[in-house]
Amino acid sequence: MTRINSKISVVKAFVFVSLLLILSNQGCNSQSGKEPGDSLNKASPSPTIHVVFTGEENGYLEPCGCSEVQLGGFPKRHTLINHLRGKDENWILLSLGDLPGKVGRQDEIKMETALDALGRMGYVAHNIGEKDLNMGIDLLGYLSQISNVDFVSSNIVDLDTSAFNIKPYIIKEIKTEESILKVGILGIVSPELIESAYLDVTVVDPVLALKPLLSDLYDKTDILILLSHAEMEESIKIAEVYPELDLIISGHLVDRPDLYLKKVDNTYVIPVGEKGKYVGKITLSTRRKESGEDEHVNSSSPAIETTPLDGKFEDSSEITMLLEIYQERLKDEELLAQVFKSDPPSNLTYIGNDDCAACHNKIFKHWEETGHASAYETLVKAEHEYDPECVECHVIGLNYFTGFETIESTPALKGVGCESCHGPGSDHKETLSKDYGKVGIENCEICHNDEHSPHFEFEEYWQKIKHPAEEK
Amino acid sequence: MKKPFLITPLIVLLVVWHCFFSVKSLEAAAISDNNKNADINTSIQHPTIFFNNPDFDFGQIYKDQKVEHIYTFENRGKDTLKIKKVRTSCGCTAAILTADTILPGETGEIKATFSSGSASGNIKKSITVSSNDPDTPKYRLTIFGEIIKDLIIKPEHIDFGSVSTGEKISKTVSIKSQTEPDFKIKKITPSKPFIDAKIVAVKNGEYIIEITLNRNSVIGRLSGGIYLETNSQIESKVNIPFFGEIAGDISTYPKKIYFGSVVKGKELSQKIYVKANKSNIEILKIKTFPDYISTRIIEKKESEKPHYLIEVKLDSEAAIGNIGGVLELHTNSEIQPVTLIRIIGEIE
Repeated sequence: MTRINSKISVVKAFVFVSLLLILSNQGCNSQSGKEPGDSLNKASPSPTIHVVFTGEENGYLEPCGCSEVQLGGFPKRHTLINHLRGKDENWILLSLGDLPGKVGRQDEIKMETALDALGRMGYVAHNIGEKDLNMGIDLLGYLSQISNVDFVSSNIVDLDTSAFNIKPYIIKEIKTEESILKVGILGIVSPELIESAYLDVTVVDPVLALKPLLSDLYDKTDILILLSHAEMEESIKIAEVYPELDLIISGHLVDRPDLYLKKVDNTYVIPVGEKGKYVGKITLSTRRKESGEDEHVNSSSPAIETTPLDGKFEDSSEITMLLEIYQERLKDEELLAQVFKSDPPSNLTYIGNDDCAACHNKIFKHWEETGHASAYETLVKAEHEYDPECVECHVIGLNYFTGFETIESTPALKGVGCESCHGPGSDHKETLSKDYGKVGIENCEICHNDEHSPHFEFEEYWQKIKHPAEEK
Repeated sequence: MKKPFLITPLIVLLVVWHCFFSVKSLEAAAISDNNKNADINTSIQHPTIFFNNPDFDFGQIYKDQKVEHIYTFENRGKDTLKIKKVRTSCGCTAAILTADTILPGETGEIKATFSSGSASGNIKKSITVSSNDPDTPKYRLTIFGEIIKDLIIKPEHIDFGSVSTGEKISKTVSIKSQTEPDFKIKKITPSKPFIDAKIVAVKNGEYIIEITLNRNSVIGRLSGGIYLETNSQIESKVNIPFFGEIAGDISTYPKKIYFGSVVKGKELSQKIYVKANKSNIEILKIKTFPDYISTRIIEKKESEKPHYLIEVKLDSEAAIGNIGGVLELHTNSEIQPVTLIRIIGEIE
């Protein structure tokens, strides 16, 4: 009997220890969090949602340039999102703002294309940034009507157009295995970024604007997310004022989002990076209202990742097709013909490669064998020959009178020709001046800048194009 | 009875060990945790990289200017420090000036060059130094400041807004130089023939330019630029973009619908937005061609000037080939009785 009782005691102890270890393991995970990327496939003790966030595309629908392995682009982004959806359907996709980079017809078409892409990817909210506002209230209003993505701004008020379909916040319901979670999404833009005196909008101080909205949303939602189109310092201040926010997506002017993650009490402040090069992901869980106490959500550490959109991701065919439509629209609207032209310096004119070849035949033949000579054909192969932003660096003098206009009318000005580097040659042709055409690294860097040519090394690249002296 | 007595504290110890010693780190970020008060730690048997000033503020520079800075670092550990890589972000280059292996107690230098290019405003760039320091394998340096423009242009672009056909509207722009004491605008060239631009005032080197959108009957969006040539050494040429809309009795957006290349059997839809700019203007009927394109008013906002949101659907039964379609919007407007919206795409 004593032996049996001992065995029972040991068994009881074993069961008890096992239960303790299981419970302690769950407790530890909820306190320490998990390694980035590990959480997505593992069951969580509390309902979780996954959030993907991007922003600050600044007009970059795809990596700009012809170098290998450049980061970013909507086609790669779509592939990543499809991959994430394959693992778990419950993703909320959020856009911080600033889809366009500049102002002009090409950027209007870009913004329309970008919003179409976001809609196809299933984004639920696009926050208004200052560059979005720069497109004009009328256009923004039209886009807000036809887009499948909701426009949100909690601190832009008194919009002087009835066409604008913008919400101060959005509540998105996510059905998890355990329950239905309500996610409140708000958005602000920093007044510091806006010349509101010239816009028909009023931009309220974000802290003031958020107060009544958060009061209203706190009890109606399980998770609160703020899209803060402001610099990190300002977003951090908002986190300090409003600890009820679970996540603030921020980061105006942050190039490497992985280096600037912040946690303010229980609020995560995470930047998006720039030019659409990165996709941020976070898994948020909530144990809200279970205990009846005012326990802040996410006292556990969520899984956070910032993924660079690099060569690991293939281009999505659907979004690639969308970008083909974009190029088709540039051609359709003849934007190349509308490029603003000014007079070449010193009243000179461009003469074309053929005229240079008449005297400098040896150099011309050398040039024909270089990548510069086929620069225009490279563009044609990439189907970007009607994109002014690309053509500019692949022809001679696009931005000047007497420079490249079309391949049909100015074929001698295609490619990175003699005058691309040496300047308009009319005077040299006439006077045979010997002081014509001195070049330095600064001439190369106009086109071979960090964005278009990230691997550019002058000494290495120079060897590929430097030409011998002409025989006298 | 001793076994249960011993088991309990053992169980407690086991649980405590499991909790505290199997915790994993949360942070995914590289942190340049810079304890400036740390002395050389002679007890640590590994290299320790330390930057006294990892963040450099270059203040203000003008566009197209370059900034160079040298970051000095020290190996405060007990083993040889090896710099594996120095990585920068766009606009910035960096390279190690000294040897990439630094003995304990010795120093090294990294030179960073930032080119402002065409950027303007506040910037902050990161430089990541990867090394064999196990505590800080990636050390973050920053270079930040403000890129200022010589020419202060307010506003930086002109939004004419929605202008009725036949209406003339003027906007003003002020421009002044921060560096040129005798600043002059030498030439003003608008990019569109229906835009006029002239200097209307000059005061203390600040020019006020009036930009006028003349009466224009072509309905639709417009855009272009006002090109200025100045005597600024830094910004001798500048473009001030403008945009707006000539609005008739109705405005439609977009002007064309692009479906792109569509696989046969796939159903797609797009939306167009129609806004009445005058009261009593309404859509009478909508016709589409070819017949595999249909429309549906999905939203109508009643007001003095109603808005419509129209779904344009490409049916799955669409025949293979070029779509080449059109949507006809019939209204009771005298000046816009029919608005045509082209539908472009191809069924494959």
